[in-house]
Amino acid sequence: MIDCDIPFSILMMLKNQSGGNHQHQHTTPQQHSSSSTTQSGTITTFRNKRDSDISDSSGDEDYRSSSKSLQQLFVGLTEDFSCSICYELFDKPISLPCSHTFCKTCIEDLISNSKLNNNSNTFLCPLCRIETKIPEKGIDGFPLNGFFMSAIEKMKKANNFCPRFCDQCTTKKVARKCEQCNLFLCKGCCELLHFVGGQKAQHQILLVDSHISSDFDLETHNTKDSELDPPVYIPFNVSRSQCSTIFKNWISSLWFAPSDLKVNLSVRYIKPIYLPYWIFEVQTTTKYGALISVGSSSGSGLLTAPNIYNSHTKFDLIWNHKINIFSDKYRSAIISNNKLIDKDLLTQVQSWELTNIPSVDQSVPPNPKIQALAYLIDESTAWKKYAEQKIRTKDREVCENRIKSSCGVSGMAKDIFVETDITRVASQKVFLPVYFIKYIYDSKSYTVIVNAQNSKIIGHRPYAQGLSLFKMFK
Amino acid sequence: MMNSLPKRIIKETQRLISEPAPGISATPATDNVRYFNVIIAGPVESPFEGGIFHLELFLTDDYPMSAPKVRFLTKIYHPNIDKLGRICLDILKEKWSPALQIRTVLLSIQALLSAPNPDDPLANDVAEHWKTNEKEAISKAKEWTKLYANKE
Repeated sequence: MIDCDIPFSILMMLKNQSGGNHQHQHTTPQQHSSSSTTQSGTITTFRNKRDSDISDSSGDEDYRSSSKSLQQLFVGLTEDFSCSICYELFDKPISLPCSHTFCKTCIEDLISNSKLNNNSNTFLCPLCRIETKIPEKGIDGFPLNGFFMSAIEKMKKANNFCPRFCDQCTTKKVARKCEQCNLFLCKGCCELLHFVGGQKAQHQILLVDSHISSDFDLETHNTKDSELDPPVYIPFNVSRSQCSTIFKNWISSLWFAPSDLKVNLSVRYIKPIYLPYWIFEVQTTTKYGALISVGSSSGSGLLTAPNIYNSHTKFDLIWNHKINIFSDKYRSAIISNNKLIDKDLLTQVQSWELTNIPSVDQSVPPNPKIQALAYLIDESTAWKKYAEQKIRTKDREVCENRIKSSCGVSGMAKDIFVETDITRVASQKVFLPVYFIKYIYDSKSYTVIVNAQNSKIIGHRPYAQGLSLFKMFK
Repeated sequence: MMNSLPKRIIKETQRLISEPAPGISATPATDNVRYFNVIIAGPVESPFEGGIFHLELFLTDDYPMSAPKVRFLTKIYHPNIDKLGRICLDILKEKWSPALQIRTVLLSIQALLSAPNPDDPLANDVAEHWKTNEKEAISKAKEWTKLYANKE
């Protein structure tokens, strides 16, 4: 546990300093390139895989030097806007009467600490030691420094456009991020730092592209990419005995079932399982329109875009060309293991809308006794093959309904078009808790799946004789 | 379980190593990054000139709200440092401020070596010696420096 917490960077810096040939090693990154992708711990591929190393691409010298001085400017500004207690960018900055500014939480800590020592209602400013009264309202009596707050927000945004250089050598572009050391590094430095005394450090290394702006938040890494987030496990709301009750109720509610089904079935197992899903959150912008005729009596309500085209048909219908733009958010859940589930059940499982998914930081650890099925479909396949189409279909449906409703009761629409533009906002691995039930009736086995979050049940079933023929021809 | 190190400590350590203060070296122990092995060179024109003094520095869990714990490991004849190596320095006690840092603490200790303060003593006998016969006390401090503080 302890070695996890030691930033290897610190230890290695020492090593390099005492070695004295640190700089020299950086100038010859080629010598490390042979062992590039597996040198330390887990390497997660981040965004696009690249054959060539981003860090060593020789860039335009002017661009490099100007962006480097830009980065230095940012480093300086970051220091100016950092709290001298926690050394991080101000979080809810408050200014004391002496005009020195600190994070609200840092002053809170300071006050509670000084109250422990001497029970007074004053404390000393950490920077100038001026005795400061704690306001009657407590810490909230100090005004938030709005100017600092907005400046920090702007800095964070602007920093996204600033290419980032290796935290270690400061000359090469960033190509790796170490989650444990919390450093952005070039390829050469990353390998040096994580190779201590012939041993590889088991750190989580991310490949990053220094041109991708959103990866370079000053503060915490903005986890927009699912690879950065651990999977979320939805907790089991249904116990095994509740599940067995749900199953019994389902069996007795089945129509056209053999009359002895309830008595003669035997349950082989009820097995809790975590089902793997990909969750995609997207933002759509959709341009849609149609030729609409609302008849002669009622006017169009919803579509307000300009009329582009007017004409009279021989039936005296007035067709108006209406266009509208509509923006929405969708979430799509794609099941990512199809080995265990039959095809017809799979479509039903796929149609489950996953709701109330805990966020990554609220997520509770999974029950270690319960098996989680492996991800057999990777993120890009899940997106390209399933999620994208699903969202387009859904969005089309929504827009067609909007067109229809704008026609009114007597209106008509033709030449409907829907163009959906999708922006992916987030993706996340989510495990849904389910129970797999296998039961046997008349020496045939049937599968049932119970959603252990919301108690929904789907499954295979026998039909009463005669009806099974009916089902075959249906 | 995830007892992660505050960003502040990481940053301070990085800076201590990349821009060390003259005459001071502080390196974190390999098995505990809150524990530092410190070396302070005796300041010039002080009785401790030429000496290499080893200290230990520990950052408690509530650092920076409370001061780091610092102690001399090398024997030293100084009115504000006792037999156990404990240091009498206001910023390590009631004058601590979270805006101070490891570097400023070590610089203050270095300054204390240059300017012993027998009026605020920790080692009473040494302070007494310093007050009654400063010359003799200084020569004893020099002697101790040669004796104990010239090792690697």
